[in-house]
Amino acid sequence: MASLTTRLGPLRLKNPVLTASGTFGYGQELEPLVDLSRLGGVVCKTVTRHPRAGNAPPRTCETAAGMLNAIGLQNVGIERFVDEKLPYLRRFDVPLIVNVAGESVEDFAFLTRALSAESGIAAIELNISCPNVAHGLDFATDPTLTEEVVAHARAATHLPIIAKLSPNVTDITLIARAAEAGGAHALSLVNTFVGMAVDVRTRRPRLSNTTGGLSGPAIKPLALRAVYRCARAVQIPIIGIGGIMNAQDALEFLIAGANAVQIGTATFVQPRAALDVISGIEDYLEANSIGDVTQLVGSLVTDSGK
Amino acid sequence: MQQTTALIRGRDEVARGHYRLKLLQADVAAAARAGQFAHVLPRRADVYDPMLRRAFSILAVEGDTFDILFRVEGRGTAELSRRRTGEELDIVAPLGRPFAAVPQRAVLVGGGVGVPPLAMLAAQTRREDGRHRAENIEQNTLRQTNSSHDLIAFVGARSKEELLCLEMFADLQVAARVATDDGSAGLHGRVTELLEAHLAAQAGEKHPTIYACGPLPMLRAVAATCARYNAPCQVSLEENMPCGIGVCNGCVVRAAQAGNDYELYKRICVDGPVMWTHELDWQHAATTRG
Ligand SMILES: Cc1cc2nc3c(=O)[nH]c(=O)nc-3n(C[C@H](O)[C@H](O)[C@H](O)COP(=O)(O)OP(=O)(O)OC[C@H]3O[C@@H](n4cnc5c(N)ncnc54)[C@H](O)[C@@H]3O)c2cc1C
Ligand SMILES: Cc1cc2nc3c(=O)[nH]c(=O)nc-3n(C[C@H](O)[C@H](O)[C@H](O)COP(=O)(O)O)c2cc1C
Ligand code: FES
Repeated sequence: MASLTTRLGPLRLKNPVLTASGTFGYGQELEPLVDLSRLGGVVCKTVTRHPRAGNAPPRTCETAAGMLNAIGLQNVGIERFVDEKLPYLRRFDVPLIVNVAGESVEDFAFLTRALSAESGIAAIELNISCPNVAHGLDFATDPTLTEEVVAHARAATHLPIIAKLSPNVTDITLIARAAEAGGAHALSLVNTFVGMAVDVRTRRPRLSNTTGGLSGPAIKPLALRAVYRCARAVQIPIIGIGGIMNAQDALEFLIAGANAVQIGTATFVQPRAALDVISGIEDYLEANSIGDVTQLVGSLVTDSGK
Repeated sequence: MQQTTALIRGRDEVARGHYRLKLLQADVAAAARAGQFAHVLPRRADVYDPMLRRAFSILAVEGDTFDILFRVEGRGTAELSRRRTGEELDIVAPLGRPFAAVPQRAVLVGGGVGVPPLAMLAAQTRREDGRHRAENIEQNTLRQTNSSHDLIAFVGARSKEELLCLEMFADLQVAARVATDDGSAGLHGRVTELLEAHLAAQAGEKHPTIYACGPLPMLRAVAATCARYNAPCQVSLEENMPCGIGVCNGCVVRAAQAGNDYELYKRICVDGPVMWTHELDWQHAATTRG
């Protein structure tokens, strides 16, 4: 059997497949359909300092091979997360990565510190890239702010810090380097691409928020390029995200330089998508006599060496 | 709730652009309650456009099979209408909160493709009636005569050809009255006018419970009418449903009173699709559907 064990800095995973924030609830809803303990890790919905109601509906709309969402970070807030959601998530033998978002550098540090006091959390993912709330994007579009927010979060915890970046920038490698300089142990690439859709009958935007984040197969080539470029720009491990629907897609990300992947929108369509990706990667390794998944990472073959 | 495949056992075009599929899946047939839905992948597994599943109310269960009835709206339903008997569909079902138990007297109000879950509710209620009758006979009680539920259905559609499930209501001995937008059958007008007249005629009596499903403007009118007569009312709602299982927070509707911010929106796929009208904020209940 090929080894699927993966390391993201200090974080050890039994396989490189995690669920993406905002697409897996708090795990509870999927328990009847998915054996959570088989996952490499679970990243839960973004938690904020205060509860958030989220945006008015319609919050989603389907587009060509993808969807737009503007949920607006609806969540119960850190206090209730710790009291009500964490005890459930802790029961599973799977690394739990808590995704947090704040409106200020202090918010991020506060959330990171508060969560570090709790048991059963394997790492913190900083969502500095949500396109659907004010301030969300500001961090990940500015290298200086990115470095500052990561450094403050890092100083507030002993847990590994993962920075989740926005693709809605001119040069994502600048932001990736800034996050590395701030002390991030790993990067998650990417969050959704900002987009919109119009109902021509009513001439209204299809989302109440007018714009939303595009996810699904439509963004895969774009996300893949972002991972490929950042993998060459930084030393820290990268988690590839964007339109991964099956093992084939996940393998593309690993070969392009991702150490692990997250499965998002695919879970909506196939609740067991992440598990199918794990077994598909296993099959590929067997079929190609590759003993260890880490051998695949960044193994892209090019003539030019570029 | 499970993800599984279901064999298409039968396919009928019941009205122009309206298809009824009979699906073989014993566990779903056994578990499904009226008001619940199936989340159906309308395409082959390896083609990602259209990408998401489509939600359809469960119309009927019979032995190991259950039925859905849908109207071709856009690309997903068009794709689904091309599937043939003998093919398999990838489904997640049964999903959602079903209708509450029906009291002695109930009125069903359905518009367009909102009628199927109400036909299911009528059938389910009549099955209960049958069971009670059987028990009564077994126990030799003589109260057999009046034990059946008093059900009436108001069915609306754009025109006569699109009136759905009338045969089912007749078979179930549920009196059905119809309304059409173009006047081609029944009342020339809206199904909510039938409800209004019915409740007005009963003023003074204890009101029946109302169960409604249809386009949002219709549900809004039903909710307003029921509030005026103080009649309890449950509606089944629609909204774009990326996941159908409560993980994306996409399919929300605004709740009537929220003590807290995080409870302002309810997820239609798991907190509904059936909700009591008093649970909702009708002023802000602007979903995708109008
Ligand atoms: C709980 C529930 C039960 C339903 N039961 C039935 C039924 O029994 N019979 C029936 O004909 N229809 C039913 N619908 C509506 C049905 O799901 C939509 O007509 C269908 O999704 C349209 O897909 P499309 O690709 O043909 O249309 P498009 O307009 O091309 O769809 C684009 C996107 O919007 C979504 N969408 C469009 N209209 C609706 C809608 N009304 N509700 C939810 N999502 C929508 C689609 O799922 C898709 O993701 C139900 C909807 C819900 C939520
Ligand atoms: C409905 C929805 C909600 C999301 N919510 C969050 C969130 O709360 N926090 C976050 O960091 N990313 C969120 N995301 C982004 C995903 O985690 C992921 O980065 C993105 O969808 C791209 O991956 P995919 O194409 O596999 O879905 C959300 C995505 C979707 C579709
Ligand atoms: S459709 Fe995803 S939460 Fe309801």
